[in-house]
Amino acid sequence: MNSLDAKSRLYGLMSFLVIVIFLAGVYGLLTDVLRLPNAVLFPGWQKIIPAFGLSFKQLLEGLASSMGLLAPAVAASVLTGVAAGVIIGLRPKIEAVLLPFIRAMNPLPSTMLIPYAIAVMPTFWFSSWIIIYIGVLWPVLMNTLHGIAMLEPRWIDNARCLNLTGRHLVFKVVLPGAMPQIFAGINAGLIRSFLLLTVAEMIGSKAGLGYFVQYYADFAKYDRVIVGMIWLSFIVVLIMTLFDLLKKRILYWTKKR
Amino acid sequence: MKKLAAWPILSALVCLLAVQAEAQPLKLGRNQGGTQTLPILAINEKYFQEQGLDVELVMFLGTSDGINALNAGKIDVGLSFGTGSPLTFAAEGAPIVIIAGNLAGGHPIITKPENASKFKSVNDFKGKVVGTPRLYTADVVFRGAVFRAGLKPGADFELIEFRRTIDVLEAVKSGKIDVGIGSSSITAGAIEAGLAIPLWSNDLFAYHPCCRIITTKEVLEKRRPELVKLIRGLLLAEKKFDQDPEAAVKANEEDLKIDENLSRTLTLDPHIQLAVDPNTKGVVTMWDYMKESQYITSDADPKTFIDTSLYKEALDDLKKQQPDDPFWTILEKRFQDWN
Repeated sequence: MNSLDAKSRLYGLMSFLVIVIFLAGVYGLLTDVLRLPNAVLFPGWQKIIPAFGLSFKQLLEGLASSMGLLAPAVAASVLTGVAAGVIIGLRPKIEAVLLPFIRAMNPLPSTMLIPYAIAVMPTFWFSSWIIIYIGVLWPVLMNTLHGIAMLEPRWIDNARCLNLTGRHLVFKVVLPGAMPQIFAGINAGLIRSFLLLTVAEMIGSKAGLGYFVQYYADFAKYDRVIVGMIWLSFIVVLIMTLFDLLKKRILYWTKKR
Repeated sequence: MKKLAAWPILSALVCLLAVQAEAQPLKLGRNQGGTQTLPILAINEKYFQEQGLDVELVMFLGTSDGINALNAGKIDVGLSFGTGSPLTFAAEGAPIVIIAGNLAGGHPIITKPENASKFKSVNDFKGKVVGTPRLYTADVVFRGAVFRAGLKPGADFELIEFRRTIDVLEAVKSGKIDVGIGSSSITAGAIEAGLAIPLWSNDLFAYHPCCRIITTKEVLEKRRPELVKLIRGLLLAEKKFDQDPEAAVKANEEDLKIDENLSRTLTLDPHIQLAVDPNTKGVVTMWDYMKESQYITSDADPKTFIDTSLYKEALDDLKKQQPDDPFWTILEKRFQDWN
């Protein structure tokens, strides 16, 4: 598939906006005009729009708080996940021993980790941090291992013929070769981190994007819950778009695919 | 001869099928962390079946999910969604109606044994780090009690919110908070972990209402006779518990899949009062507590969310059936006192 030109991108964006406006219109028709669904769970735009204004300060505080938690947790997961993936992936014997453990840890439900996180970590902030860290670590690690396993054997052979070993082999051949798969892992990890925010911010939080949605859901204030979900979706789209730009810049050789 | 012998069996089967066909299905929502001794005892003793009901229990992980299912018509009745959550939904305009009760009191306030002597009254929370599970009944009771004692969260003590009581338990065990507001579901775990229970929610608000039996206005309108039958079954369970508490221990043991000793500790906890009475006065006080702690901003009259007539009708029916039984007279007196 060729990369999109500016005109196609603009067309895509416009189409997306038309779909969003259409869906918002259908929702407004069902709730504000026809008043069809359960009014508590499905508040109309007449309630949601004022709730956005009332919550704006809280949403900004939530964004700052969540990013303060998310950024260090995701960064730590990516660094350790990629480093561990390279170390394990280049040693098939170690990989054979550890892979079953990694696969077993991956699907553990995050809510089950909360009591352990509270008991083991020094503060509530670190308890929330570790929930996101662990959740993002597995997709990054698994994809790094996968990326290394998928490397063309002749690349490694050729590199070794050129006397490339150790960190030179890792940084000049292994990492660039596995990079598309590593980015796929980071992509999956980033999405997972947003899902985990709601779980992580259950632990002694006073602000946050996940906290906001969960807090108002407890109080049946679904106008604010929908505001929180729209805000969270907007932030996710923004961050994922920035991530795609970064990916394209780093993986410049994949641009034409 | 064989054919003749087969007739009574066939007739019995037909009668059984006829009874089952007549039985009214009723879906009852329950919360994983809630206490459901009376409904479970009523099922075990077949009281609902005798009343012509075919009940199905539906489990939810959180009270909000259960109440949303009730609002969406997926279940007919909520058994153990607390008092605070139903009142919150009602305040937001959901057509929730409290028709009876389930239990009162019984939530532990937990701390490490070395701190136990520091907590003798609500004033002792001053200067401490307190963990509380947001919107649980014990949380509402605690916030109301500290408000009335003139203490302010943030200024007089640090308040850390959690979404689950199990996390409050872990926070106390790890020493990250001085004291935790618990729920009856973690009492056994707290004792097992060697924690102390210096106070109970009852000490802050004597026999405060906890899980209320709730339904919606629509179900109440369409299925009132079945709801009265449900309350009759629960009242019979309350009587059974009064006369033979061991039957409830056995029922909980089977339902919760726990050993007999743990079931006895949970079921016969003297701080829990099992009562089907809707307790209007207690619910109104809980509403006031929620307003004082700014959980609710609505100016609605909480009595409009309570309908005691079904309970009264069920109690009157049982009194008529067993006029000489003093138990129903005691419950009548309690109804007058609490409503």
